[in-house]
Amino acid sequence: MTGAAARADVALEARGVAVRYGAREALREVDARLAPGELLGIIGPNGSGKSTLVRVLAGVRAPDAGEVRLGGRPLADVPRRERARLIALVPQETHLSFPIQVRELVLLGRAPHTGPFGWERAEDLRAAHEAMLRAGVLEFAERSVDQLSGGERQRAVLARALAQQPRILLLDEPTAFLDLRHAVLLLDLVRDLCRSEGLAVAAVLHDLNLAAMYCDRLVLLSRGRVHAAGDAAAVLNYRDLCDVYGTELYVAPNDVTGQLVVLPLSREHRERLASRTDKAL
Amino acid sequence: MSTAPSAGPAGTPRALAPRVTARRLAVLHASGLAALLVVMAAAALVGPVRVDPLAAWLAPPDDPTRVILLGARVPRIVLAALVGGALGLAGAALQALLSNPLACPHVLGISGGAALLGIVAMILTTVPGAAALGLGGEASLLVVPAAAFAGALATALLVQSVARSSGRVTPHTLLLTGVVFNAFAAAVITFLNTLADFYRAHGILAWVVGTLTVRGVAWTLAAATTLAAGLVLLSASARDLNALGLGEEGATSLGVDVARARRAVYLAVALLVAGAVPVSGMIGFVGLIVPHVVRLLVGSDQRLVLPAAMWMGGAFLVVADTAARTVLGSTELPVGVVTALCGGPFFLFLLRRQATDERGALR
Repeated sequence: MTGAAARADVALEARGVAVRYGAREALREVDARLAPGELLGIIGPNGSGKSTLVRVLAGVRAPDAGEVRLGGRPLADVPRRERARLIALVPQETHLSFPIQVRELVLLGRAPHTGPFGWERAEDLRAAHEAMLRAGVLEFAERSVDQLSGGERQRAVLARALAQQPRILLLDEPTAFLDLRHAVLLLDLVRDLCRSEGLAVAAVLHDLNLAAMYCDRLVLLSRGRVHAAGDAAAVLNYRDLCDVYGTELYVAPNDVTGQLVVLPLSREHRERLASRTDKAL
Repeated sequence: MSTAPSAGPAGTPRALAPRVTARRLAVLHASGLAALLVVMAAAALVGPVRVDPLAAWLAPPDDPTRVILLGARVPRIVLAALVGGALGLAGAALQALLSNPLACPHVLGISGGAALLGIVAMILTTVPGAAALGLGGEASLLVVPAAAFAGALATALLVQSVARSSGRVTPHTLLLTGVVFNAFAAAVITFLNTLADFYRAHGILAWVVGTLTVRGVAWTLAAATTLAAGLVLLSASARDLNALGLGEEGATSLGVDVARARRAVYLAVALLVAGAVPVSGMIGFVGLIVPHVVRLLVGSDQRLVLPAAMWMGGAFLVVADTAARTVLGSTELPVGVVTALCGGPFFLFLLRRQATDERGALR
């Protein structure tokens, strides 16, 4: 999207990161690395620190210990506007104080590029237009954001992030409010951006099957620590997942993608499985 | 993504057109000024005494109609425009900063804080011995607005610290703080009122209700200066305020220095209030109502909302003050009563609508 200089290797790296909210420790000694062109999935149960990790990587929350490095520099030393030109964050929810149009929302993504009074130049409008085209929100550019469906809204927020022309995109549960079709369409788009633009993406995903299918690597968090990291086949193993999520699961490869399918089991099935295992013993 | 952009190249020009340009802003300022001048001119013709403006203009200096027009009405109308502009602008900035459609300097207690310290300063400048310290007479022009500024800033910081310490701020926490602070300020002011001499006390009560008081050209110029400073400061912060519409973290991720933006806005609001309060007291609801009407007209982009709120605030207070000095014939009503009569029901309407929004909102 931008010149050769920006294309240079801008990896994002967390080293020994710890975050405390009051007495509660949200992250402990977390290491994670995100390279250009890579789609990293951050998975783990509720409260395991996924969102906190994304916020620390985005630089909106400073770690209490350890550090985050951007292209070899401490992220804390990167001027905030320069950081915003390199890293874009799509939070779990986007709450708007006042109703604004989709294109106004997308143009907010140009804030780190414009001058002190915020006048948009021709290149800002072009970038916003391209972002809207990519995210497929051009046809409702004039609609008010609060009148959009969940899927449209999520794409509008993604377009806002793309208008920043970042090298690194951080997504916090981008598929949370999306139905199956919109979820895969969104992740298809994100993966295309990884492949074609060399964008580095880290996405918090609740759906382990989507994570297995789309991500190059996974980080499995458990109670604020990295429980396992690596490719999907290694991280999504039956024992680790049952341990971390604290429930009985069915994990097996599927015929279509060859990836693992993770299926949570109802109490009925868990009991049936237990009795079968007992008999076998 | 899901459907190919149907419009294709044909759909692009509209999306590519910038919403806010220097030219559009210039047009907004020009039409705002023109509309305000029309309202002011019309207001100058209204009053218990009929005045022919041209005849009054040409009349000798001691002609009664000339004195009424140029000595009484025009200074008062100019002051109304400046104070209303300051309150409208401050209200729009606070609503954007706090993401709270119910915020304004009066509701948050910022005007109360300014009035409280302003009154203390005013009383101190008239006590025997103040003159000896260089605080009496003319010095009150500096001391009173400075004290009002300190009071406004201190209250703004108090409001902010309450907003911070309560963790996740509900819009109502902030308002409660303001209401409590206003009650406190009013109590202290009434206490001072009881202690002070009668004739000075009369002036003090005018501060509490909100009455435009023409103190002299210097005071009006002071209000104009703080208004100009506030407008420049807030215009420079408009982009940050737009980003803050995404919440603090959203703004931070867009490269906005949220703490600095907040300081700039509070500084600007304190300046605006400090210019307005010494010449008008605590006039409520202008800063609450005006930004809502403005957003209906120009949308939510703060680069347009802020200047438009200034022009409309000026026009609104000129109209309100004209009503205040004419509806009861020769008896004058404090303008704060007029704005409260309009603003009270409007506030309840907003509160009700907000409650419905919160219930109805899925996320």
